[in-house]
Amino acid sequence: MTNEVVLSLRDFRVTFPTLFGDVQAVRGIDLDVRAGEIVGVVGESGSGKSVTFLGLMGLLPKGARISGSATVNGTELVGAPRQVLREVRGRKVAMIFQDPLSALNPTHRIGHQIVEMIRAHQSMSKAAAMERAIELLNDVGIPQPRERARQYPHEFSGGMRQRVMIAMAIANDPDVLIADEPTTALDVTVQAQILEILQKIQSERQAAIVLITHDLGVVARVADRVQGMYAGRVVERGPVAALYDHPSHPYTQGLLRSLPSVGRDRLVPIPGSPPNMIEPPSGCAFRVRCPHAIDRCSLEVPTLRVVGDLESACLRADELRSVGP
Amino acid sequence: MFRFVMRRLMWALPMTLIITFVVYVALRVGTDPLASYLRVNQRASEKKIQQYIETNGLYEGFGGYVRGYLQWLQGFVTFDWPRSIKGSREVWPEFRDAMFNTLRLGLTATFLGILIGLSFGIFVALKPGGLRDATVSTSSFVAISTPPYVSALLLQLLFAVYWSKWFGQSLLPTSGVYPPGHRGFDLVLMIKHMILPVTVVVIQVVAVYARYMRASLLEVLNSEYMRTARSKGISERRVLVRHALRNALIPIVTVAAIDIGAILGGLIITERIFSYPGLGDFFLGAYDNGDFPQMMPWMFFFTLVVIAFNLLADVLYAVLDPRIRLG
Amino acid sequence: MSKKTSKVLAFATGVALILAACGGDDGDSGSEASTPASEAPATEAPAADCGPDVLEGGAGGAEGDAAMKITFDISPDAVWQDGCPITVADFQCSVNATLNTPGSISTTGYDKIISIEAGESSKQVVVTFNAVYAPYKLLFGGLIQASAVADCNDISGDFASLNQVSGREWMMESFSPDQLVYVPNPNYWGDAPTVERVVAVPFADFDTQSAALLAGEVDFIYPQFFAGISDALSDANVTSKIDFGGDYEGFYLQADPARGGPFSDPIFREAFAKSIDRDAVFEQIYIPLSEGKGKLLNCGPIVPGQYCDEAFADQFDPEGAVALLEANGWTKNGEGYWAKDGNAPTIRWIINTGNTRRENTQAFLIPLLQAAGFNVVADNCDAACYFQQRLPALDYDMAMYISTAPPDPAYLVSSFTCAQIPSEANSQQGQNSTGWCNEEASALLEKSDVTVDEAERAQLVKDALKLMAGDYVMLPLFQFPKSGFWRTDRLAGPVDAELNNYRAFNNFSKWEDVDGDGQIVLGAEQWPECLNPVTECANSSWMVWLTAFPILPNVWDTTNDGKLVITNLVTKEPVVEIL
Repeated sequence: MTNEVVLSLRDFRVTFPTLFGDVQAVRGIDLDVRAGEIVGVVGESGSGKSVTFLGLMGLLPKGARISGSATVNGTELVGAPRQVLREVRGRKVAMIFQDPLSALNPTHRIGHQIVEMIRAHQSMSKAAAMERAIELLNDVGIPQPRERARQYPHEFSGGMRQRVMIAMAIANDPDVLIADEPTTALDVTVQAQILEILQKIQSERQAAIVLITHDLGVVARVADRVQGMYAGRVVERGPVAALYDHPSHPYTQGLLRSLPSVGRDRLVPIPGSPPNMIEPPSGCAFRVRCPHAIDRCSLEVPTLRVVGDLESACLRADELRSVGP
Repeated sequence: MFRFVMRRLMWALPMTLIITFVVYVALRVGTDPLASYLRVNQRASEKKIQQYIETNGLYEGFGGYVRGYLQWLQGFVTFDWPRSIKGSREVWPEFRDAMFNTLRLGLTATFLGILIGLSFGIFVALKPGGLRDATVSTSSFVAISTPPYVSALLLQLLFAVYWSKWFGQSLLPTSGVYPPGHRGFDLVLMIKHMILPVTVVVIQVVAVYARYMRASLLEVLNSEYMRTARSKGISERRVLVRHALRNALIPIVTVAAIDIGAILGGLIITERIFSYPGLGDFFLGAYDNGDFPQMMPWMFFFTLVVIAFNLLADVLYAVLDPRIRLG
Repeated sequence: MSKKTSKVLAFATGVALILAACGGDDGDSGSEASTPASEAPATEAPAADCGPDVLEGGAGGAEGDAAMKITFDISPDAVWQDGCPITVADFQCSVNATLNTPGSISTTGYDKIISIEAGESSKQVVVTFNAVYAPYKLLFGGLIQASAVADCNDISGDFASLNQVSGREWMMESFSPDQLVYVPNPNYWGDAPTVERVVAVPFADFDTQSAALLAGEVDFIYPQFFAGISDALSDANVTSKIDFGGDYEGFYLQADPARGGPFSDPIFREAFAKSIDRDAVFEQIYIPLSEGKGKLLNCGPIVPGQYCDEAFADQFDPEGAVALLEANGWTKNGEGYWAKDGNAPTIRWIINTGNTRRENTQAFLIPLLQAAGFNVVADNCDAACYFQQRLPALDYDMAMYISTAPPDPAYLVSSFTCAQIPSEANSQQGQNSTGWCNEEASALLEKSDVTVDEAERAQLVKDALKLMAGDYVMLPLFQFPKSGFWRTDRLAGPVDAELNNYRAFNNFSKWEDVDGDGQIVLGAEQWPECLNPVTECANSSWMVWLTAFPILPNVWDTTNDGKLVITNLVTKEPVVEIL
């Protein structure tokens, strides 16, 4: 972990004003991502993990209020003028989305969509950009890339489309690649291939990859570090192995219990549902679903503190650490 | 693509023939051209009646219909059209004038209306939910629910009747293609006379297309590929034009192509109110008399218009949306 | 639509006949002449070929002994638009065209002509009839130029797009679906028009023509009258004249015994007619729509004047109706309807759907009649079905429609005599759609047709109408107002002088163009579809107003007070001799 920090978040917050009140989607996140590492961000839907990264890219709907700090290679993105954001998008930070069918423009040719990405940031002739696009398609393992470049998204299978998305994302050698549930819509064998490609990119290009997912299993396979999120806050973070072996936050434990693995007869979902983020519960937001909650949990917002190899935001982290998943 | 268009074109020809044959039979059965002729020419001699039957191919039985239709078709394409039953007038010159008048009015109104409608739709969709949206949505709702004869009369009252009361002279003419007594071609006068009738049609078209475009563009703007496009770091303008507008226009273009036929056919009321001698009046007159030699060309024309614009819609859809092309 | 058709109906019944007479005879070939007449022929010398002064084959063709002879002296000044003299040939051609053109709308009167010959010169016309024909003044209207048509015996293909024949003040310069332009006839021998151009333009309905008048696009309109019309056209620059013309509305009861309807029983018919309170209908329906300008019509199928005796007044007598029915074996059945021998007839009352006035009349009267014991039901259909099918087929029990009474009562013969009931004998072409056959009345009417003495003729008509009143086949209701509206800032002169005339506003050659735009613009409520003056084209009032009266010469013109007077086509009143 000696590499420089390429993406850094400090007290990052996102709020959506609505008729019923402000939805506090992200409530103060800190995160550092270094070049060449894969960081997994896990959490249930609504935990704020996608919103965080869409927010720093400036891709949230117009009403969203963002505060705190998000820097990429030292460039502050929060409050940055549109021009700065445009230069960062696709050039320094690129994104891969969950459903590649709807994420690709159905009426543009594949090659053209990649060319557009390249030419947005590099002055290159259309023909040269197309050659580069074909190369990229080849890199992500698309056979007959020249022919495929002339096709449309609907002519591709799901896995192939996701490869296209990846090819597009790496077209400008970004420093950070944000992959938002990149394998969720794919079947298992294709998932593995996509993850391999991501790993390859990480090792070959020394790109930092943020892997957003609700699936701890995916994280376990490829990530170096994990950050668990709940109700817009980080609940636990640390190296993957440590988190798997000794999760100390009941939420992470719950996530792990809900994961299929050898030797376990049944999956145990976390009871209850994510809280209403207009008026989130006081104190620890997870307490209402937590089997170990105590009175103090409703009074005090737990902060991250070191528990073994991990950092955990649970008041009872030390006691619970041994319980395991 | 070329093959697709050719295939559609090759379909269009038999379609036209089949539909016009059906129309032919329907008119033969439904209006009884011979009876109409006799009603209009009560003291026609046997010889004249026979001549009318032969000129128009009014043979009996299914075989007779086929023979009559083919005879009609041959005469039609060679511009050897039978004369009208009332007054024995040549049909083509009257039909041609009416057709150009209607096409001029209808196409101008359609294109203007769609253009303005789309602009409004875009204008609103870019900022949905605000005052702008409410204003445009409400006015388009009002416009759609205002029948053309009401808006036509209001416009006539405002720009002609009251205007001349207030300022001593009307601003815009309420009737005709030219002022009474005018001879020859005059573009300025022609345009002046088209303003009010075109406005009446445009109001309706704008309202419809503003709503279409708003809905279509909103759907596209909320789609995930718009987020992808933005994440590429390309300019917002390019995002809107290349990604949003183009895709939002696909369903609209096809609807519009089909709509044009309907708009042309729906000009009857507007033409009547503005005493505009178009195909609407032509048809009403022909229908009143049961004038078979006048009605058939009208029917053929609109069949052709509908088929042609449907074909155009198909082709445009295929050109614009690659997902359709191979299907 | 309903307006149009009711108007057309007016003409279907009355005018068709008149037209045959008045506008019914022209023939000239404008079909190939599609170039505008702007290059009108020079005033001076006649064109090279004026054709023969007398047609070789003559004219007419009726058989029998000469019974009446009329001698016309054509004015020596009378010439066509091309300078050719109007001669006996033109009379011959016009008559032949009316008699022989396939599709000619009516040959009434002309079919009695044995021959037309030149008298002392080709400017003197001697017409011989095989019978005395009293309405002869309706003949020889709308003459056409013999040399302008290829075949005087069939002009059905002529005048397809333009009629450039003229023997009056105006020539038709152009005609199209959106305008008709008149220019003065350079060779007209009478007073020249005061205006250089007159343009007529069509309008679909009252709203559009009123907007055009108020906006100053047209100078004069002649709309169908309705209540509130004066308010609708109130403007400082617009003035109006409300007058009464020949349009009248009435109820008609189907009396034909051959059809076997309920009213073929004269007792039942009389009782029914006596149960209708015409005063109440007038109050309820017509007062509100006439701005208080009308009164109940009591003349029968004719308007007030020398032929009207008020014979149809005061027929409402409900007690009398009950007494009459009871005396003749009718009793009310369980449903309260009059029945005889266990049979309570249903009375089918037809009007055209969508005509508000007639629908209101039904709504008002049917409950009253049902309460009086008559099972009246509305049996309506659209205008085309009503006027073109049901009425000519006598397929109704009670009808209600408008007719137009021409200035001469000759139409009564074709509309109300026994011989005119559609039958095999007249190839179902008879025009007596009431099916009324009263031999005595028929004889009187037929005699009126051959009685030239005016007073004697008027008495015959009055006597026949008295018999009609006693037979209860027709109940007159209302004489409709006529209305002309014009802009005083654009038009002056005797605009209001002729609005009661059967020829309507046809004195427009005397109107003055005040605003100096060089033209007078007339708004037309209906537009002539075609110009042929003898075929079905001529079966519309607006067609003859616009395309026959202003251009085609007549021997007799109608006046504003309903008389027929000679025109400058002849030098003196034609001499009628009964042989």
